[in-house]
Amino acid sequence: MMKKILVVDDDPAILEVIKIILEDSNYKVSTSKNGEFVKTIDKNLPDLVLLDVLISGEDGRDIVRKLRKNSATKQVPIIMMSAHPNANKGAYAAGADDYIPKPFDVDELLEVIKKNIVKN
Amino acid sequence: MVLKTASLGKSTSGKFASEDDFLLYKYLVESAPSAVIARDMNGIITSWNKASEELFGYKAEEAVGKHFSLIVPQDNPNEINKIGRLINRGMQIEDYETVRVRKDGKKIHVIARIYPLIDKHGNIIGTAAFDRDNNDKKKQRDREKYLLKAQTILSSTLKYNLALKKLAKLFVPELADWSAIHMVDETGQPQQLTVAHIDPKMVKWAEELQKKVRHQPRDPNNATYRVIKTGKSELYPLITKAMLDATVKKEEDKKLLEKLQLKSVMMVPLVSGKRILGSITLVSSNEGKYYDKSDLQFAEEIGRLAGQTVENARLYLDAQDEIKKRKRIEDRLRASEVRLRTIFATVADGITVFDENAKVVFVNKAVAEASGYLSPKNMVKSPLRWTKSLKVVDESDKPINIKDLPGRVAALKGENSEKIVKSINAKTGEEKWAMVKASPMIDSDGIIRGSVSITHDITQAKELERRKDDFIGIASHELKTPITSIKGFVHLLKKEHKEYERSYNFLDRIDKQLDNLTELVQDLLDISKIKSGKIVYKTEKFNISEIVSEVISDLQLTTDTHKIVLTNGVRRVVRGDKDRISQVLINLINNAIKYSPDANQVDVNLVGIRKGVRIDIKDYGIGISQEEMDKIFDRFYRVKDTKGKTFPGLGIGLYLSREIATRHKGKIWADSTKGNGTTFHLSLPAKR
Repeated sequence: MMKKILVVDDDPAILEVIKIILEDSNYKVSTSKNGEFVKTIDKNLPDLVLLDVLISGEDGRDIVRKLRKNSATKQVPIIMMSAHPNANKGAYAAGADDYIPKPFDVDELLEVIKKNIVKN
Repeated sequence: MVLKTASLGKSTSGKFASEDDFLLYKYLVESAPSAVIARDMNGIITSWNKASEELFGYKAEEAVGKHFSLIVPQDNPNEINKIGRLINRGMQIEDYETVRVRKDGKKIHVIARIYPLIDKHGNIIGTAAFDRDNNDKKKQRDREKYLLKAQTILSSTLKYNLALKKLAKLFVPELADWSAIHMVDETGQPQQLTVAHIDPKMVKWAEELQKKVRHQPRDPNNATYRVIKTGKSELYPLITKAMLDATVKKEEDKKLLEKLQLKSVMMVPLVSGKRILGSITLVSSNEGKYYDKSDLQFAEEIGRLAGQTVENARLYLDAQDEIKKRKRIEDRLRASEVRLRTIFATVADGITVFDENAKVVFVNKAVAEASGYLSPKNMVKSPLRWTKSLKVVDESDKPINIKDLPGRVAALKGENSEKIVKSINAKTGEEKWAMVKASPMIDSDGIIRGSVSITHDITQAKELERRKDDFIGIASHELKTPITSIKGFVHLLKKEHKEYERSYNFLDRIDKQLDNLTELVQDLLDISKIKSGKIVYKTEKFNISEIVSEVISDLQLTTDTHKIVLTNGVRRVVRGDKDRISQVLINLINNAIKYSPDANQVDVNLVGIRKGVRIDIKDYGIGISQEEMDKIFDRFYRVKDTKGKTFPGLGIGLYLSREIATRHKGKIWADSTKGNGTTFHLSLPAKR
């Protein structure tokens, strides 16, 4: 069964290109341009969340914390992305499982996803 | 003297009732303790008793029939007339103190009663004088008067040298013909302070003699020296020519001494308790005055009196000096205190002074106000009250213990300390940033007396920094966002054009440019952070040859024009930030490739050096001229190629690399000649 990845970023171009890249690699992709998804994520749990550190002013780390507090999403693998050079420190602290800097190397991105995604 | 009207009565007739009466009378007169001298109207001595003989030295045969002036000293001729006049008026004189002269020339003091002798008709026919030796009593009284005078002189002024000079003059002529006072100087030598004589010419002459007659200062034959050393007085009641000859050898000096006419000499010390301050010398040139033991005792008493007075005067003057000195110091201290207070009050920075027990002893207005007190005084009184309203944290928002604030512990141990702190007002939430620096206060003996802490408000600077950081964060995010999606699309395109060599190449070149762009953006970020000193360096130990190999293999993938060759490797352990050092190596090797477009090799060499390791990166490219060599490490400097065109890039790679090298306590430099390749060297401290 195809694995599901949720990509969250406030830049539409990035959302689009990642969607294409991931779908090319046989993932099912859903996207969100802000943190609203947290409210409805229970209904459709992804196998991995790819989340930008800064989403229209909202701190991605807070979103991670919220997800971790929710028992349904506590275990979902979360990978954070950021252009911010030192954001990785805060990412792990907030509860993310991995981190990839922007701009990323596509092969590297696919590697990290493979490493962290929920295994069956 | 006391004058009374004579009341002898009229019973005398000049004749005695009987022979027995006469004999009795004669016997009484003869055995009277006082000298009884009867004179006629012409002053001729008619009666002279045994006491008279003893007192005056003349036997009765020698005196009777002679004029009364025999026993009156030459220098008082008027006395006879004076007395005569009084007697003729029928007065009797009692308690008359006067001076008589003995057969041997010695003057004596007597106290006399003089009565008129009246015949039966009431006519005055002569005088009867009853003289008693008043010498001792007189001497005693004189001495008491003397001491009083001496005391008055001595206590008249604190300038004791002046007083002593006056005292020397006092001695002359009553006590001596010559007087001299010597005082002990700092080296313990007697120095003549003053010489007195009734004739000022003699004084001058004596002072010159003093200069001529060179006594060995510590000569035990020098009597003055002896007296001062031993504190014992010396008496020479009679000085003979033989004694003088023994003292002085030269003929001319002998003549000088003779002129001094030393007949009788006494020397007493000026003492105060056990301290000998000087000596008094008294000389009599008069054969009528030879000093005896009682004279010496009297002189000693004066010596003690003078000594004590001088000592007291000195002590008093010393105390005055001390007080004046202290006052001057106090005034100076007060003036500088005023200056300091003004400085402290005016300065915008906070100044806090702690004593050696970390107790606040001083704060200036700036600190007090910043801490929420009404006045510095209030703050010194309750130095910890501010902790209730202000929370103090460090740059990571961690609360700081009061003890750790600079000035309290480290500084008192002798260390300088500094901290950046943030204070948060519990009520208003207002945040302020400050740089607090403290140093110990060490006195001239090296003892820590306390500490001074300076608080410099950096809230504005911090705000600026925060805004810059925010800007950098936002800018970097904004710049990298479009690059991210472009890279993604280029990747997709490359996948679709794998078969189309030309398109694929173009896309690949686009991809590389995007990487360049990313690097530039990152460099820009880094540079801004260097300026604010914010780059955080990790500290870890790593093997330098490992990361050199890693970098070489990574970079080899990015170039097919150049071969990167590791010509030598050594194993060394470096302490620092692995990523940053890799960044430097990447920068240097990339530069090597970039600046040798016509070459095909870059050599990397690892060399172990004393206490460290050196990495050499050699290219065979355009080289760097001498004048450019100084500038290549500058920010934004870009080297020009042989055609004068600059190479692309922001030119901050070397600047950053140098920063990183310096932070690791290493060095970067280069050797090159224009047109002939360059070798960059990076040295780092390392261990085996």
